[in-house]
Amino acid sequence: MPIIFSKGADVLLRRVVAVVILAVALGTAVVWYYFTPKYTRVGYAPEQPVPFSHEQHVGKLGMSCLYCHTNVERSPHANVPSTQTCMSCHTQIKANSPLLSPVRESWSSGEPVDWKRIHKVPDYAYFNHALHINRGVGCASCHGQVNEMKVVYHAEPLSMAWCLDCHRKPEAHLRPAEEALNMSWKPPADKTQSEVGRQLVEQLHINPGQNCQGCHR
Amino acid sequence: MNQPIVEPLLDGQQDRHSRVLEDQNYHRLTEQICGIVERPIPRWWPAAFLTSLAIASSALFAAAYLISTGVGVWGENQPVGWAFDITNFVFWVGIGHAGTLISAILFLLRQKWRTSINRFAEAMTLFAVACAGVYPLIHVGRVWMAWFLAPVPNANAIWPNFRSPLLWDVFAVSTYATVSLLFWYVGMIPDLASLRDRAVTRPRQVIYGILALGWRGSGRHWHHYEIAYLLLAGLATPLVVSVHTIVSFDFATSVIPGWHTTIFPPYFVAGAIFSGFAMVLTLMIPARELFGLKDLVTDRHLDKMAKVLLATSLMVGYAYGVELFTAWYSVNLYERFAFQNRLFGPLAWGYAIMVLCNVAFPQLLWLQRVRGSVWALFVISILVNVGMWFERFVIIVGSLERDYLPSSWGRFIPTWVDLLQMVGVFGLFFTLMLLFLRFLPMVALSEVKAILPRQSHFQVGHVVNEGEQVASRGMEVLES
Amino acid sequence: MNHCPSHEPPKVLALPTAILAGKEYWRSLDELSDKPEFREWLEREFPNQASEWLGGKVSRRHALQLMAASLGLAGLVGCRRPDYPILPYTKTPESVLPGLPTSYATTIPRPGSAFPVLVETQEGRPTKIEGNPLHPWSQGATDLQAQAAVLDLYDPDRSREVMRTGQPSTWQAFDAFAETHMSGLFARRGQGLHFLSEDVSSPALRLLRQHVRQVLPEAVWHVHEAIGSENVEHGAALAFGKPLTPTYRFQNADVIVSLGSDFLGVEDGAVASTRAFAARRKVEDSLAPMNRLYVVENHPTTTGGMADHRLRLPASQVQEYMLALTRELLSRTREDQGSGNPSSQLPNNIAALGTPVVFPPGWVREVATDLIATRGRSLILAGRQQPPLVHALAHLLNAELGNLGNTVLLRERPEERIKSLGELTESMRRGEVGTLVVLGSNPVYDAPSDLEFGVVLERVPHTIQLGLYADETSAVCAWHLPMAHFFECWGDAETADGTYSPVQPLIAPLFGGRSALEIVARLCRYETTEPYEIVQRSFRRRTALGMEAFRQFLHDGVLHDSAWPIVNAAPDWAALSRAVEEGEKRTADVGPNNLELSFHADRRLFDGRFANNGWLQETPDPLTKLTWDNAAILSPATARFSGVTTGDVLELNLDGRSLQAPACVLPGQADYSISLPLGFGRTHAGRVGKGVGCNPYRLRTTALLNMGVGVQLRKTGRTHRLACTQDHGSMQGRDLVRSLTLQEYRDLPAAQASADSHSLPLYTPAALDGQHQWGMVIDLNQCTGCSACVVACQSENNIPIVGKDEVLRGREMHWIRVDRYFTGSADDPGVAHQPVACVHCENAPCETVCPVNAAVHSPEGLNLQVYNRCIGTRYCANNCPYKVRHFNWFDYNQRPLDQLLAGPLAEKGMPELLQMQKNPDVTVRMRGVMEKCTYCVQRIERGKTGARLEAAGSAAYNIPDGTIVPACAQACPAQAIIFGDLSDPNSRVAQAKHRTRNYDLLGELGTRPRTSYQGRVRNPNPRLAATEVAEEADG
Repeated sequence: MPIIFSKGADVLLRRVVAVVILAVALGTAVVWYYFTPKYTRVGYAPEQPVPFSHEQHVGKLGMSCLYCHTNVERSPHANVPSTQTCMSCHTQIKANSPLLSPVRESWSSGEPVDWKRIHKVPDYAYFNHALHINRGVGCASCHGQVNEMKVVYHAEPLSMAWCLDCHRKPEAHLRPAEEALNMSWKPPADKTQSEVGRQLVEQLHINPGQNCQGCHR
Repeated sequence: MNQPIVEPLLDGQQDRHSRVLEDQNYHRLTEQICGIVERPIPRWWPAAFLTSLAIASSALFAAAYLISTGVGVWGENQPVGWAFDITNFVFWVGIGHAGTLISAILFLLRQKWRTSINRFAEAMTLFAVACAGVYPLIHVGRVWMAWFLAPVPNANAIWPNFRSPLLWDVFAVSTYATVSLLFWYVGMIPDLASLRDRAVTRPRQVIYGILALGWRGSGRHWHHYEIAYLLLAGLATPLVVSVHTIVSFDFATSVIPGWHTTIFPPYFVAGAIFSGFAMVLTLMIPARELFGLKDLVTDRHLDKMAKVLLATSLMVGYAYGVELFTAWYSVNLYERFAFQNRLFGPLAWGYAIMVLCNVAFPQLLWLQRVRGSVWALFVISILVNVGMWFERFVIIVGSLERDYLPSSWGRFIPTWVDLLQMVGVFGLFFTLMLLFLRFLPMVALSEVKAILPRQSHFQVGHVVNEGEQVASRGMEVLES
Repeated sequence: MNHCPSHEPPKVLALPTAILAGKEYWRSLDELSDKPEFREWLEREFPNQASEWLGGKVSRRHALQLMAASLGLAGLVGCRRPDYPILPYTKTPESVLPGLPTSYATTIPRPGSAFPVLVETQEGRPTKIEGNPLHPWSQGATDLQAQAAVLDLYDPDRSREVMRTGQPSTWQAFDAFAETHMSGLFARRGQGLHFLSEDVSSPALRLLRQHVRQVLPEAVWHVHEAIGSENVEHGAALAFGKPLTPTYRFQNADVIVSLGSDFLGVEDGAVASTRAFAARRKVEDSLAPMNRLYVVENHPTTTGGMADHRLRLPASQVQEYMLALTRELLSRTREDQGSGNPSSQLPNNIAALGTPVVFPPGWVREVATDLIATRGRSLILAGRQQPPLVHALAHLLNAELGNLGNTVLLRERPEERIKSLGELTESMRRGEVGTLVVLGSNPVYDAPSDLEFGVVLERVPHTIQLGLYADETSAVCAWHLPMAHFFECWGDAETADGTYSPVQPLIAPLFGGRSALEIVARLCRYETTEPYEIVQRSFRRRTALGMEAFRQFLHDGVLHDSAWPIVNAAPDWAALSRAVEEGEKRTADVGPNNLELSFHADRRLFDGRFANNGWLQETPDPLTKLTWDNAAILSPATARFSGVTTGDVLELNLDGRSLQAPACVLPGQADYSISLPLGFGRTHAGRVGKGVGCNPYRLRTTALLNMGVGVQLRKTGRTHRLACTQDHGSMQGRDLVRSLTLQEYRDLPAAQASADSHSLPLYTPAALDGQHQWGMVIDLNQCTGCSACVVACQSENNIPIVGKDEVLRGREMHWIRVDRYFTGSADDPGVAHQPVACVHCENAPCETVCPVNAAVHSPEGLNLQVYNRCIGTRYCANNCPYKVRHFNWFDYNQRPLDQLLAGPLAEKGMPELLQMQKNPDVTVRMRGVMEKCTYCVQRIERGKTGARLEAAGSAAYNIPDGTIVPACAQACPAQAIIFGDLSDPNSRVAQAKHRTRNYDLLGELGTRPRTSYQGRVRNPNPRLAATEVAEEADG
C-alpha cells in the first residue's frame, strides 16, 4: 500500500478544521459589530452645500431650535428651514458672503438648497417629533450636542434596539418638557438624572410604547 | 418463527445461497462493491445522469422565476396559502425517514440484515432531506429576509417566535440533516479507506485519502469508530421519530378543521416510514439489477422490506379510519364537514387515490408470491409513493380549500411553475443519487464483512453463525 | 387651527383671504404638488432612496421613478449608508403644516343632484374623501363613488390635451377658433348653436344659461342623463299638475312600501336615505318603533335585502301591483270615511285598469291594512325605473294616507326650458344644428340606441366636446377639450332638494383642464371668464349674501336651510285620469315565452361614468359579488327553464337589436325577468375600463328605456369567466349571521349572550394592559351591504387593485369584505350581508404560528401585522379562521397589472399620479408580505398623539368616545360600524357589547375576537308572514 500522505497530514487536517471554525466565528463577529447602525451610521457627517454651523447659531448666538425647525413642537416632522428663513437674516448679515451663495441662488431661482440628510430612523418607522418634545425628551438625547457641532454629525445609532433602550427605561433621558429644547440642560445639582426621570415618569404617567403599533403602520 | 435455529433450515439451501454465505468471501465482496466505483463508467450512466441533471436545472429555473417575480407564479391563493410547496416538503421529509430508521434503529436492534442496504438508504435519506429543504426556503414571500428565522442578536432587538411550529421545523429538519450526514459519513470512512488503498490513479488516491481521514484500520481506529457509530446511532434514533412529529405539528397545532388533529404525530411518522421504505425499494430494485448485487441485496431483504411496508401500510390505514371516526364522534360541525368534504368534496378523487395506493394495494403483500416477485414489489412501491404524495396534498389543500366561512372558500389549481418545480426537485434527487452510486461505495463493506460467516461455522452444518442467530432474533423483534 | 384632525372631527378650514384671490394661490398649490416641496414630501415619506438623488436637478418624474424603485428595495437595507437629500420649501406656504393633513369642504356633482364631501389633503395632495358632517345629505358618511372620486382625480388615463379631429392641439388654437366661430354665431343670434350638458344642478351654470338666453336667443340648451329622473318628474306632474320634486323623510315612516325603488342603493340621495332609514332599525333605543319595509322589485337590490317582506315581480308588473294596491286601499278608505273624501273622486278608469295579476295571498290586503293602520306615518315610493303612472299613484296614495308633509315633502325647483336629447337628435337629423357643444356628457356611449346619436353627430359641421376622458363621444367630435376634475375647479351645486353647496379646487388642474363654467363663459362672452368670479356672482344672486357669508359657505361646504321651498299640493285627478286614458291599457304579461328585460344602474359604475376607476371595478357587487364584469341576471327558475348556467354567454335579441352577455344566475331575481346592469362595455374609457363587460345600451331604446318584454334568449355555447369573489352563498347550517324577528328578540332572555368557547388557550394570552382597549361592533341589522366601507378602507390604507385575473385566482386584497349569504328558499331567499375584516382576536391563531414575530399583539388589543418583519410564510393566513389576511402575491403596487407574470422584465414603478393619492401615514406594502385590517392604527396613533399634545404637561389624557374613527366606520351611511375604547364603560362600543344580540363570529373557537356582531332583527308583518308560511306549506 503506497504512502500518499506525509506523516504530518493528520495534524494538518486538524489545523485546517480548527482554522475553518475560527474563521467562521470571526466572520460572524465582524458582521455583528460592523453591520449594525451603531457602526454604519454614528459619526456620519456629510459635507453640506452651505457650511452651516450649529455651533455658531445655537451655541454662540443662542438661537432657539424653533427659529428654524418651526414645526417640531406641532408636527411629526422637524422641518428643515425654508430658504426664506435663512434669508430673513442673511439679507442683512453676511449678505454677500460667498459661502451663502447657494442660499441666495435658491432664493432667486426657487429651487431648494440640496441639504444632505443626516439623521434618519430605520425604514418604515414613524417617528413623531412633537410628541417626544412635548413629553420631555430633549433634542440632545437623539441628536447629540448639536450646539457644539461645527459640522453636524450622526451622534446616536437611531437603531430600533437603541430606541427600545430608552422606551424601556425612559427615566434615563427624560427632562422637564420646557427644557426639551435646552441643549445644555443638566439635572439640578441636588438630583441625579434618574431621580429627575423617575419623578417625571411618575407625574406624567409616561409609559412609552414598546410594541410595534407605536412606530410601524 | 419462534425457533430461530431451525429457521434457516426451513427455508433451506437456496436461501443459504441467497444470503451472503459460504461461496462469498472478503475479497470477492470488496471486488464487487469497489468495482462499481473503479470499473469504467457503464454506458447507461452518463445518459441517465445528464437527463436528471437537465430536469434538476428546471427546478433551478422555476425557483429563480418564483423568487424574482413573486409567489403568485404558483397557483396558491386565498384561502389556499400552502399547496405544492409544503406538500412536497412533507413528502420528501417523509421519504428521508427510511435511511436513518434502517441504519440507526435496526443497528441498535442488531438487525444484521440491514448491513447490505443501510448505506444506500442513508444516502437516499440525505438527498431526500436536501430536496425537502428546498421548499420551505423558496416558498416564503421574501427569501432574502429568511435570516429572520435564525435566532441571532440584531439591531432590531427581535427574536424569532419560539411558539411557531414552523420555527421548530427549521430546527428539527436541520438537526436531522446534520446528524444523518455525520452518521452516513462516519459509517463510510473504512470503506473510503479501502477505496483509497485500491485506488491506482493519483487523484483518486488523494481524494479518497482525504475523505478517509487517514483511516488505517488499527485496533484503536476500530475501537473509536465503533463507539462513534454507536453514539450517532443513539443520537439519530429519537430524531427519526421527532422530525416528522414536529412536521405534523405544523398542522396539528393549527385551528383548521382537518389539520387540527391529535393523531397526527404517530400518523405522520408511520406514513413517513411507509413512504421511506417504499422509496428504498423503488431505488434498490433497479440498482441491484444494474450492479448485480443480487447476492448482497437478496430476495430475502426485499421480502423483509415488503413486510415492513405492509405493517406501516396497516398503521396508515388505521389512522385514516380513526380520523373519520373521530370526526364523526366529535359531533363538531366543522370537523365533520371537513371529512365529508375529503370523501365527497372537490378533492374526493385525490382521497380515493390515497386510500387505494396506501391501504388497498399494499394488502397484496400478504401474499408470499407478491413479496417474491420483484416486479410486483417495484410497482407497489411506486404506487405507495404516489399515494403518500396525495395523502399530503389532500390533507393540506383539501382542508384549506373549505374551512370555516363558506364565503371565503376557494379552489387550488396548480400552474406550470408548480409542476416544473416539483419535477425538477425529483431531478435533483436522482442526480444526487446517481453521483452517489458512481463515486461512493453503495454497500457498507466493512459491516457486511462483519457478518460474513467464518468457515468454522460451516463444518457443523446445523449451527448457524451467531450473526445470523441475532439476525433472526432481531427479526422476531421486528416482526412480532 | 387644529393640527390633529382625527383628534377632533376633522376641522374644516376656511381658506385664508389670500386664497380667495383665486388663481395665484392655486398656482402656488400647484408648485406644492409639482416642485421641490413635493420632493421634500417624497423624501420624507419614502426615505429609502438611491443616491442618484445627488444629481441635484432631479425632475419630478425622475424623482418619482427613484421613489418607486426605492419601494422595491424596501427591506434590503445596505450595510453602507447612501446620502439622502432634504429639499425644503423655498417659500414657506401658509396653512400647510408638513406631516399633518388639512380638510377642505367641497361637493361632487351628481346627475340632477350633488354629493357634499370633505377632502383630506396632505401638503396639497387630495388623498382621502369623507362625507361632510355639516351637510344633511351626507352627515359625514359617503357612498362607494364618493370614496373613489379621489382616484379619478389622479387617473393617468384622463384626457391631457386639446384634440382637434384626433390630432393634438392647444388651448390657444381652440380659443382662436372659438373667437372667430362664435362671432359668426353671435351674428346669427345663436342660430344653430346647441349645448348638450349633463344634468348639472349648478346655480352658476344656470346663471350662464340665462346669459346665453339673452345674448344668443336662438341657441338651444339640451340636457342628457342616461339614468335620469324623468319618470319621477312626469309622475309628480301627473299627480299634481306641476313637476314637483319629492323628497322623503324615512325617519318619520313606520311602514315603507318601495315599488322598485332602490332608495338604499342606486337612487339619488341614498346616503341620506340610508342614514334616516337605519335610524329606525336601531331596535335598542325605544324612542321610535322599528320601521317595516315592503319591497316589490324584479332584481335583488340592497333595498330588497333590507326588506321585511319582499315580493319578486317582473319590473313591468309592478304597475299591476300598484293598481291592485290602489284599488284595495281606496276602497277600504272609502268604506272607512264614506263619501266626500278625495278618493270618491277617483276616476273609474283607474279602478278598471289593468289585468289582474295573481299576487301571493295577503300581499295586497295585509299591506293595505298596514298602511292604513299607520296613516301619516307610512310611505309609498316608486323607483326611477317605474313609469310615471306608478309614481303618480304613489303620490296619490301618500296623499290619501295623509303622508304628504310628514314622510313625503314636495319641493318646487326653478323651472327652466331645457330640451331633451331626443329633441337634439331630431334637430340634428333635420340638419338644424350647426354647432354642438357637449359639456361632459357622453351620449355616443349611453344614448338610447335607436337615436343612433353617433351617426347623426357626424352630420354636425362643428362639434366641441369637453370631457374628463377622451371617450366614445370625443372620438366623433371635431374638438375634444380636457375637462377639469371637480377637485380642480371652482363651481357650485345643489342636492336634489336644493341645498346649496360649493365646489372648490383642492389642487390646480393637473392636465390644464377647464371647467364647463369656464368654457361656456368664454364661448358666450360672459362678463368674466373666471370661474371663481362666476361662482361668487351666482352665490350673491342665489342668496343675496355678502363675502363673509361666502367665506362661511366655503368653510362649511353648505349653505344651511337653502333647500327649495316645501309646497303642499293636492292630487290633480283630472290630469291623472287623462293620463290613464292615454296610457297603456294593459301591460303584457311576462312568462316563459315572453321574457322581460330590465336595465338598472350598476351599483358601482352607475351609468358608466366611473368605468375607468379600478377601485370601483374591483369592488364586488353587493348582490352578485361580481367584479370587473356585468352580467345578465336570471332567476334559478328562468335558468332551469332555458338550460342556462352562470358563465354561459347568452345572446339577447330585442326588437332586432342583439347583445351578447354572460349569464349570472341569482336567487331572488323575478322569474322570467332578466336584468342588465348598465355602465359596462365601454370602448373608449381608458386602460382600466376599456372593454370590461358588455354594453346594455345597445339594447336600450327610447321606447324601452327601463324595461321591455319579449326579449329572445339564445345560448351561444361559449362561456365567459366571471370573476366572482364569493362562490358559496349558503351558510352550510353554520351560525354565522344570526337573525331573529323583532318579537323573538323582545322575548330573548337577557342571559343569552354570545356563545363563548370553553376551551382554554394553549399559551397565556398577550397582556392587555394598555390604557385603551380598542374594539368594534358591526350591526348586521343596519348594514345594507353597500360596500362603501370597502372602498373607504382601500383609499385610506393604500390597498392596491389586483385585476380580474388575480381576482379569478382568489387574490383580491380588500381588507374588509362584505360576505353575502342567502337564507330561506333557493328561488326566493332572504339576503344577509356580513362585513368581515380582521376581528383582532385576543387569542389570535395567526400570532402563535408566525415564526418571525411579524404578527403580534399590542397591549391595546390590536392584532398587529408588521410588514417589514414579515417574510411571507403565509402560515398566519392559513391559520386564520376568518380568512381576512391578504398576501402580496406580486408587486401589485410596482408592476402593471397586465405584466405581473413578466417578473423582472415588467416595467417597474407606480404611475406618479397614483403615488400622489397614497396615504403617507400608511406603509405601501411590497410583494411577499402579508397584510390585513389594522383598525386604522395610523388614525388611532394620530388620535392618541393629538390627545397627548393637548394634555401636554399634565398627567392624564383622555380621548373622547368617537374621536378615533376607522375609515370603514366613518364611511358607513348606516352607521353599522361602531369603534371605540372597550375600557371606557360608557363608550358606544362598550354599551353595544352588552346587548343580547351581540355575538362573536366563530366565538366557539376561543379566538375572543375584538370585533363582534349584532344579530339581524327583522320586523315582519305577523299576518303576512303567516300567509307566507302557509304558502310554503302548500308549495
